[in-house]
Amino acid sequence: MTALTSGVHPVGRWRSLQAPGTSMAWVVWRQHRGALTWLGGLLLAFGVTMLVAGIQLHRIYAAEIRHGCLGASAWSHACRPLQSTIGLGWPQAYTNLVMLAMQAVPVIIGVFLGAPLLAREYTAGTVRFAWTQGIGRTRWAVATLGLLAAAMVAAACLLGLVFQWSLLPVAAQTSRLADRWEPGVFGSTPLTAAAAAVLAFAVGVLAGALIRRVVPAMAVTAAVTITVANLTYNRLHYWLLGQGTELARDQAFGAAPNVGDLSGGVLTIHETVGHSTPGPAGAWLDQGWYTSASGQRLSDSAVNHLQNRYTGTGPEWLTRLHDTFWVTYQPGSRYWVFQLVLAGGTLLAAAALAVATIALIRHRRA
Amino acid sequence: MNVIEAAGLGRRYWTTWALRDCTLAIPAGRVAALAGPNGAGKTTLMHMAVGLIAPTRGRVTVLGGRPAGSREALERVAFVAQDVPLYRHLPVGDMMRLARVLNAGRWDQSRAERRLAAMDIPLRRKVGKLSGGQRAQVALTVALARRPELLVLDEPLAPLDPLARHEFLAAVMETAAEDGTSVLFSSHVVTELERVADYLVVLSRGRVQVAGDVEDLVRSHQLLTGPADGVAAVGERFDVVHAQRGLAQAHLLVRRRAAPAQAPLQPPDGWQVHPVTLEEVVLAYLREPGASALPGPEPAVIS
Repeated sequence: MTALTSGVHPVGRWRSLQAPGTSMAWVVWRQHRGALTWLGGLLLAFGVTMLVAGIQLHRIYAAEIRHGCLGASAWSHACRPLQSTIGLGWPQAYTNLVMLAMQAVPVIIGVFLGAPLLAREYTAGTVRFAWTQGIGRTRWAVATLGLLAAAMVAAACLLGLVFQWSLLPVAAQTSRLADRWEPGVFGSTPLTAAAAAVLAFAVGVLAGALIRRVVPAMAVTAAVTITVANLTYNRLHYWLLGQGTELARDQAFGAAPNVGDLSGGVLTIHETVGHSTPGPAGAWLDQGWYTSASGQRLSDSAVNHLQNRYTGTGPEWLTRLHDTFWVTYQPGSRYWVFQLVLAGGTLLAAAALAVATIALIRHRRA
Repeated sequence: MNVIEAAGLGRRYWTTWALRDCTLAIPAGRVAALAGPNGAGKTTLMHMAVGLIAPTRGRVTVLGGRPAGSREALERVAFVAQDVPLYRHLPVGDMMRLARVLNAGRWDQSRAERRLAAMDIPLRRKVGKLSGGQRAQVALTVALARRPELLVLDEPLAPLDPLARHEFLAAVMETAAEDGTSVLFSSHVVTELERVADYLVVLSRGRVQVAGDVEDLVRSHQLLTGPADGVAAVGERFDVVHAQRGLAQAHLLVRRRAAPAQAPLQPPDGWQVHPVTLEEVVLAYLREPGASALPGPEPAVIS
């Protein structure tokens, strides 16, 4: 046996195997060239769009800095058109649009790259080829999924970077729209965008492995990834940022919290302390409530009454009434901690799905 | 060494057993045919032998005890599945490069190139645009370039025209002869088996019905023709596999009870002995699912 085997692959043949185009990366590229080309083209077009818009925005921003337009009360004839462009013009629509597009990127990756990956092998019957080769089905799957996931990480990272950079001027001047803590921005940093892309890809691959038919797998992947995005942006984000908050007795801020939902005497604020609002700088405000001089929490109707009567009159009324406004918040310094938590959690979920997929591939019939 | 060993092997899909109680030992260096009607469990047995599916019961090993589907087994066993699944969107050349990557280490590039050139298969044509015969040859080329010790082919001849069948079988036989590669191929067409196979396994309704050396099988079976009322007398001396009775005459396919190398057969008075072909033996067993001819046999007796 040994003699036979050693006779089979002399050194020369080994060398020829090292020629370009004979690696697993080439196999994955060749196999998925079509999908990767148009997906890459789409993402590239999106990236270039953000780049062009970003250059425009940064130009306006630079002009504003030049004319000293930044700051709450800065005003001049030169500043007015610049400020109104960023505050009221196309950048507003642009910001909303690219935020949505960034949320769609993982969905597209999951649906068009992830879902067909194994489903097509099953429908074409080529699993019977792929899984009986010398490499073994586990190594085949790990290499294929790993390489494609790495490519998606790179693409999503780059898009996240361009996205963040292009929105800097908007974030610097509008109170809420493009703030870094806002779900649409928080979820599309290079870290979180890459993690979301990997998760959606993993969802698609697992759906394909379970359903084994391309179109149903794509449909299920779309439904699941859109639901995941919705839950992440509308629920998980706020829940996460409400964990381990600091408590502040913030009279100054208490004068103007007329945003947020009031329920049971507690205001759900979910807003950043903007540059025009005094408060812990760069912090994410979670909840707020009022207490009376005797330390009791004020009811909804009492708070409504106070807000209606005193909003816009300055913070003095609290002192006068001996009421106190309390607020829970995440300090700005924790931003990247929460980035890591969200991205890490997302990656963990993706890893769990990937492990399930590999287990399925290992143990399920072809 | 046995190239395939199965012990109590069974596979159930939901409530139906596709294969059950399969105990087999196919010796090395043979071209073994796996025959049986559609739905007999041939594909299920092959898929378990190459590790594509796991058994519900029992176990199967290849090439001297290597677990089916293990890395060391996959490296040495080449499988061409039914309907030759290849990546149809790839040109032949790229299909070959892909197979080379997936089989780095044992891949014989010059052999692949020689075969494709000899077959006049254009490397730039997409696999999906080839004729059925060419596609089968590409699949076989991939399998042979892996330098397998065991080559497993599931219904390789089904989609081929007679000429392509001939070429395909010739290539398989040549490899078996040159490299000493063991071959297991399945077919529901019985006529082609005798020319190619020297070992036969017949599956029927999920069970192994016949397993053995082709020459032994042919020599140990005979066709007896005689009076219809004398069937019982024959049954005392032979195992009757299949009986075809007319009003006056009966045709019996019988199996000798003694070892096949023994003295010439002595039929009862009034009975004529005819030699049988492998096809006749196979068909007789397929017509009598209760009968079997296995190593350590328990043939059914028809009264």
